[in-house]
Amino acid sequence: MFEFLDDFFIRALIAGIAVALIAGPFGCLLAWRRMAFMGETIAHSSLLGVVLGLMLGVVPQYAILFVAVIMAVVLYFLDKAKGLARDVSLSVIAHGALGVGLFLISLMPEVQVDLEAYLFGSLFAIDEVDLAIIFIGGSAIFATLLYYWRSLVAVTISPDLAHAENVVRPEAEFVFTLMVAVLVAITMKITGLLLVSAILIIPAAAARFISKSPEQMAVLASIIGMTSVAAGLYISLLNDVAGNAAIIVVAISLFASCYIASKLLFTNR
Amino acid sequence: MSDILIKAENAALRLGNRDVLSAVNFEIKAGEIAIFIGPNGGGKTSLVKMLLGLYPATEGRIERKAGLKISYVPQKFEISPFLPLTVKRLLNFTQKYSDATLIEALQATDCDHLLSAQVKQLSGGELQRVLLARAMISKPDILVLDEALQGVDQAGEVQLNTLISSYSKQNNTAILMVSHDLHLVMKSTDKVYCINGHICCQGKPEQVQHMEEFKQIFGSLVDHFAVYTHKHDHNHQHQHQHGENCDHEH
Repeated sequence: MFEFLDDFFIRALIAGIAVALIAGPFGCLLAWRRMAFMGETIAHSSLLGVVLGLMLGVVPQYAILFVAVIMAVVLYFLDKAKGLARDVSLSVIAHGALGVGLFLISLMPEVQVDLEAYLFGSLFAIDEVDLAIIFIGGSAIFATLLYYWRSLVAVTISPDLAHAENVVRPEAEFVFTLMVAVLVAITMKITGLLLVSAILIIPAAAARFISKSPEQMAVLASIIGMTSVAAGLYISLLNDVAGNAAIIVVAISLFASCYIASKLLFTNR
Repeated sequence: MSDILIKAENAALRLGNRDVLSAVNFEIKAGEIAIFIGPNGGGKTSLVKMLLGLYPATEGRIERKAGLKISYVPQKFEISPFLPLTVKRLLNFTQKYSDATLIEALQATDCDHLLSAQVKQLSGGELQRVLLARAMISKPDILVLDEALQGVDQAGEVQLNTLISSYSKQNNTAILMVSHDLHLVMKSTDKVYCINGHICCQGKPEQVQHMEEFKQIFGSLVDHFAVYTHKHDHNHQHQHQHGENCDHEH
């Protein structure tokens, strides 16, 4: 009954649209909180995940997920300790994890790691296992996000007000960090390290120009992301260009269009 | 039954490696208006945050009455420029209200015309009016205002102070205000606390202003008070040239 999944293009399309749908609201939350590079930071650690997976004989997808969660937890506590500015701790974690990953690879000359897939993803090599991970992981974080949405937006508006007036579920911020880790881990195969932030942040940035409320912006970011995936993959099918690059090119065109539309249509925003 | 809303017993606060507050004993009862006054860096805002539970006390204890309903206007409210947010959504973000309720609350602080405006486009004074309206909607047991009238023009400041004290009387709401403005302390206040690393002195406004500790710390402010009154008269005339409801910033 799932014969249509035999087609690599259909698998890429389904995976891409599912990830873009979830990335919309997460990208908004990250952008509002000036954490736009958090996705990329966690993505840097996935090379470490690949290597650890090889060393311990674990399926790479699971190893990547595991290391991403560890990195997110470290980030959470660094942030809480307030010892470092957020951009500094993001940078330390990103490049620290990348360095350790590269170091471990060089200790194992017999191992061949496909660095290109790591950097740019392998959208057209998505298999049924990847699809299953995207659907299970994606549904889980999407449901969790809806449950914590009010708390997360309240803290975004004002942490002090939200806490003083007792509207925050105390575990919300920690759960959010874990959710971002899972999202990045399932996005890596599609976008690769270099384009994780693009799929997270560009649709949210585009939606900002044409939104009046946080919820509207989250929904529009999802729609813009999904449109980019569908149109980008269609372009890559017609012209035989890289799928993930085409997705980003469409996304950035939509970003420009939204900017121009906002200047023309809403003068007062 | 005690009507004490928040109580601090021998509380101390250390932030990083700095002792901010020590030996704080404080309580506020239903309907009481208390003001914290003191120099910059004296710990007024930190004390407020400790009483609200935003900073855990390093020593001693803070007790809040069970189920206490708090509304808070923080000293700093900076919204992310990337967050689209209308005033209406800001008023609804911790609890939902009907439009009629929102408009009524905004009317009290003269800013009902801002209901559908974007928060990041408000002027400093407009934002404070909106935040004050927001704080009053939920009919809290205690209203905590940390320099809540900063950026509000002087005529507005007088008007909003009157509003706050009449709101307190009508609803039996306790008010805890932080202010650097001695002018406010002299009216409608039950108790003044001078904060400079600890509570230096406390009492009714008319008692406190004659205390030695108060004069030592606020001597310069007392002088300023006279100048301020004069400036206020001058500004009042200036406002008349523009008409009563002049909204622009000076």
